[in-house]
Amino acid sequence: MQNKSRFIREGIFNLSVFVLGVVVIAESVRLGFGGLEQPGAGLFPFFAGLTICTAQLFVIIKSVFRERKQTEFPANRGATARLAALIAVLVGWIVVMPFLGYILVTFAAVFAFAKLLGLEGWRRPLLLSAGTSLGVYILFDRLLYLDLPRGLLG
Amino acid sequence: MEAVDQLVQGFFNLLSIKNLLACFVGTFLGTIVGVLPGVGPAATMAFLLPFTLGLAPETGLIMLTGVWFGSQYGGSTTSILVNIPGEAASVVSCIDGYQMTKKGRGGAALAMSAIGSFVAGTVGIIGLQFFAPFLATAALAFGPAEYLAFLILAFILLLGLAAESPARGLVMFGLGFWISTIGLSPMDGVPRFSFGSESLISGIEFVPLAVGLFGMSEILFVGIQTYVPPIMAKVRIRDLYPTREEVKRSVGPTFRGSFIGFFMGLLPGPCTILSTFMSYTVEKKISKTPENFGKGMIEGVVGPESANNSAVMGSMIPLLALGIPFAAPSAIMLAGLRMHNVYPGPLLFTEAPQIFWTFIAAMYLGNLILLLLNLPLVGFFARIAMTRPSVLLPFVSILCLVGTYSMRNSFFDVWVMLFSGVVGLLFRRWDFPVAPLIIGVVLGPMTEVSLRKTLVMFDGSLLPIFQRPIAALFIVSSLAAVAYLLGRSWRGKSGYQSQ
Repeated sequence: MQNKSRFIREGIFNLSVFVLGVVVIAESVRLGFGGLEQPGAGLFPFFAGLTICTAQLFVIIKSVFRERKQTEFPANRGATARLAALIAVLVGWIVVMPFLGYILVTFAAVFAFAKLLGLEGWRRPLLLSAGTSLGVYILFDRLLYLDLPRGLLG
Repeated sequence: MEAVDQLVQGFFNLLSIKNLLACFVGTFLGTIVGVLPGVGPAATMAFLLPFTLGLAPETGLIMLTGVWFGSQYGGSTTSILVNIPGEAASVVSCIDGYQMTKKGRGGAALAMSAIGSFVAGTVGIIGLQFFAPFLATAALAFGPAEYLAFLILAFILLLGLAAESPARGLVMFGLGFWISTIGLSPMDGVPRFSFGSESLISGIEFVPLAVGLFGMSEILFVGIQTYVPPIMAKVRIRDLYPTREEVKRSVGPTFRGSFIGFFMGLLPGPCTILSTFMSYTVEKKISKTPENFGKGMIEGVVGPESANNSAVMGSMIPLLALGIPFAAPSAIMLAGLRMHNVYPGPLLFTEAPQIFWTFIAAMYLGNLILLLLNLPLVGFFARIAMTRPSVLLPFVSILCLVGTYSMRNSFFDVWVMLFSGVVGLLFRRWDFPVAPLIIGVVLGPMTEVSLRKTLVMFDGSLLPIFQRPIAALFIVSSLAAVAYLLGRSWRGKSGYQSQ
């Protein structure tokens, strides 16, 4: 059962890469090859797309007919949920940053990240959040003179 | 004689606060990166790229190479003491290194591998100093046809050596080439694959892509694993003294490892990793007691540790003399130099020799710094390796986010970085190697320009390439390599990863 679901997930990924190759070929054709004496902008990406499609087709055929050895990769439900949560924190950092500013958002993001990764208690995550957000702020904003978004605090 | 004068001048150039500091910071950071499992040199070098923009080109190059060089030193610490390789190139050192630790000889293994690495690094630098200008002079005869033929050969060798499955490696090259075409085309300025987006017209920036593929994907990968605290063996300074017998047994492996590493560095592929496997195999084959390998033989630690340091220097030769990187860290280094408008290749040695010679001088110094850092501070670096992911990863992820943003004050770049990180994790999940993609991105424009110029030069045909002896030699070698790879694939054997 697990093998079947793994096979389906791998198949979806492999097909997505193949479709991307087809899109690259189609767009390259639209851009135009020019002549071989005077090659156009689409020639090289066409070769790139062709390489993706041909090699990926080989990968797909091989994955259908020959079982590959399992790689060490945590693929249980808990790991997937944690991955989704970690990505959500990172997305949140990008989306909220322009409004709330660097310090507040980074403090919250580091705290959430540390808790998701299993840092126990409240004191240590809070200290880590304060230290990271302030340390990175001093390094980038004060020492390297890079302008970090200030948001509400601006 | 001229080379000696230039090297002396290189040492004078090095004696600026900025260069010395870059050398120290690079090697120190590199050692930490080597010690920490989950943070690789490629990610760190990609992350440092924006910081090097404010520095002189040679200063930036010194810092980046220091990271790569230092990571090879640092990787041995956790391999020997904890049986966890901090770096892929230190996997082999776990086999006998940890066994030595269990026998109470971990300190001697650390000391001899640090000394071996120092000797190998010096051999590598001497080799680089003599071979790179020689190859650059030979490469002056290269035109677009020769470059195109050489790139084809390099890609094929890279696929054969690096990827467990050449087909997957080829897919990644294709993707890298495609990503390199996003934005304006190099010869006629036509916008490609921008789909009307203003951000995409200027192309995908290299730094967000590399930080995402190497750094963020690693953070996410480590983040979803269950953490098991390692058990670290304690090493005191007095434990570092090797016995006379151990020193005697280390001399041969050090020099053999140095030469193996240096020549492996000249080949396309993950030279630092391959050289350690090769060195270990050689030491085991020539040993009078091969049955003791795996039970704590110092030859099995010193040889590979010497080889990976020398390989770093060997791999700088094709990068500096031809402008062609053969591994992911050197691809990142090439991208960094281009940001400074420095284009490695044959002309580097005539137009900007100070960059090359200051770099050589810095490597001599960096090698010495690493030896002095690694022996007395072994306890400090070992403690760093014990840092829990729940403390380390939030800090590193914020550095990735802020570092990427600060390059152009652009949230688009941060999105690219995060997207690359997630896609990089998927590639890892389904065993697609990332190194060919990043090399494809860096070499894509050069390959495209060479291809188009060659077609224009030969009126639309590639056959006249065979009338040019050097290019013909590369193409014939490529065909032979393809035949070999197909034969190997037919027999069901694959790259080094399966060994």
